[in-house]
Amino acid sequence: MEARLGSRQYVIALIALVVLLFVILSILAPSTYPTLRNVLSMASQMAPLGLLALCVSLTFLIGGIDLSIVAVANAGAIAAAMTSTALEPSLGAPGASLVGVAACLAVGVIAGVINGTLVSQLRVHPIPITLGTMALFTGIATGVTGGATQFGTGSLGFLGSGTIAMVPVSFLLFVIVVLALAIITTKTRFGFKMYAVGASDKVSRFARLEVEKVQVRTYMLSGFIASIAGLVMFAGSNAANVSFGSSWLILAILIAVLSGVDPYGGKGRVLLVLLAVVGMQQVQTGINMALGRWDGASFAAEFTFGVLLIAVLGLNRRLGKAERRKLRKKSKSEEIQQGEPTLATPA
Amino acid sequence: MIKRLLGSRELLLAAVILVLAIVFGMLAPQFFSFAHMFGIGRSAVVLGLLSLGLLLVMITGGIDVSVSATAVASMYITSVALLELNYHGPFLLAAVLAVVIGAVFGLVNATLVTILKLPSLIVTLGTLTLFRGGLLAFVGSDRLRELPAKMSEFSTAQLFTLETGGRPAPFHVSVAVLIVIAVLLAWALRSTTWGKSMYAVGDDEVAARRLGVAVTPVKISAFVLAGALAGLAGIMSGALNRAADPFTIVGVEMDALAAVVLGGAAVTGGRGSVLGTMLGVILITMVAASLVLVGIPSAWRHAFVGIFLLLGLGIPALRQRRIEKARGMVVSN
Repeated sequence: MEARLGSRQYVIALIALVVLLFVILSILAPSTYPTLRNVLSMASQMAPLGLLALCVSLTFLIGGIDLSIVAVANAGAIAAAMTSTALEPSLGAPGASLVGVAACLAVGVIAGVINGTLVSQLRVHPIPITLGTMALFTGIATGVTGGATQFGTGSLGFLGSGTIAMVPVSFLLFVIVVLALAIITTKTRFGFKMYAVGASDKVSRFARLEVEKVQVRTYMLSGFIASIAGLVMFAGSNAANVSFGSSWLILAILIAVLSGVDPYGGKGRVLLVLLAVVGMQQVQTGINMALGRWDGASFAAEFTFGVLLIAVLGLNRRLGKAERRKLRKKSKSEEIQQGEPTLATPA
Repeated sequence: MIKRLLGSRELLLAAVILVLAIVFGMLAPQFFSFAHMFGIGRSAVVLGLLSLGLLLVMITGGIDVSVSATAVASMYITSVALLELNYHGPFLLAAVLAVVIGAVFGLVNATLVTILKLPSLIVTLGTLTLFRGGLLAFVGSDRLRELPAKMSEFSTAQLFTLETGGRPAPFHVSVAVLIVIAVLLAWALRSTTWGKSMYAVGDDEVAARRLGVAVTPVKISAFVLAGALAGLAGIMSGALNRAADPFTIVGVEMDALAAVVLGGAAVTGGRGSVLGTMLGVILITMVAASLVLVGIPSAWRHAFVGIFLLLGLGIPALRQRRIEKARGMVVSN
């Protein structure tokens, strides 16, 4: 149960990090940072990355990884752009957009099912599989478009830049998806099975859990959410290209790691992705504020993300180790109190 | 048993290469010219060196996706340093410098993976962006067209040139370098204690440790060698293109992974051979170089790499599962 809730200290540390970043950046830029306008602008940028981070977290939970998410998002966006533009003359703008949205989500679901089926049936590590499907999806999208940017009809603009009561629609959508996934992972049988498979697929198999089914569903969910991210990206710029968001995969992994989900599976909490995204968005905005005028700013940002990824991962490992040691000590002393013979348990 | 499986894998690859070559040859007669063959060899050098490095890491049970960034960073830093020093000496020294820089990058990966015990994919994804971002932000992002003279001259250093039907077919020195390194590595992996320890560590780390294999140094050696080979790949790429472009060799880690996996290596470690990897490199380079020749737009290249990678994973995995099922070894629903 501990694993599903995540450790309380970690949640507190994450909240502290978010608040601390806000305070520091507000002190550094008192006239621009702590303004409603800036906060809303940051919120409007969070959705695509946050959604992609959710894909990584979900697949991490079952002990896998989905490296094809950015490719799926771009392929979905391209499908939306091409179908909606092609159908606009015959269906009109609203109908064509609806078909475009459906096409985008269908691409995501199909891609996810392909990933899930390959991972579960071949029983090969998901790293090379999803790298392979990443190349495949990117390749098909490049081949179909010839690498050219596809433009849409512009009728999805509200999803990219619209607001409800000042809150960006895309941010609301992201929050809804996070909450839905938080419920799925913690309150449903499927969620329970996800944690079980992530903790040990071998034990899950002996316990007669349908490991393959859980894998296919999780990767399908990941593909579906990646295509929502693609839709938000497309709606924001009204353009789609295979090369968009090239540095987003690493950012999504960074956010997932920051949210405390264990890359080896079975531990973590999807809800914390929300906090991690807010933290990362502040880091990104901070870098832009500090280096915005310098030519190498985006490269320096990439450098920083690489450093952060390794640092956060290392720190998590340390914290996890300390906690495990504490738990082991506790359980040992309990056993001794009960007078049971203690068995040496391998780490 | 393992030997037979490995043997069949390499035989299968060779057969696929042969069949594809015949198809390409029928569609485009110029495919079977020495010029085209040696051209494929020349364009296989960078991918080949990167793949051999990745193979070493994968044999020990890790993965290194940062090899492309290591290559470009070693190449660019070497070029900038030599231009700064107004260097006019031989190319060999430039290559040594790039190899050393690459090895240092490899050591960074090795430290993070072995000492902090972090998963190698995420670490090397991190160092991939870190190396490249750091290079572009702090070293430079300009394409350098004026390289030290001896470095540019290397691009025309042919070992020999065949004259067939009046058309010259040059065989570049770098191809020979790749072949020599591949043969050396194949020998070392097969016949030295180090080579056997590499497979032992990848197969079962705990068992290897109990057998007295120094696991950590073996793993470090894999990452450092991968970095060194990437450094060599980088300097070769710069010299062959007669320019130090910090934006080259992007995404080649994908092709390298496809080549190594096609050649029979597994991310779980303990498997893979130099011969298989080189066949994988030849297959990918051949297809990439010949798509345009047979009228397929080069934009489809990634799709082919993806399909090859998935087939390379899928066919042996399905065969393995069938064997296990026949023996009743699979716990399934």
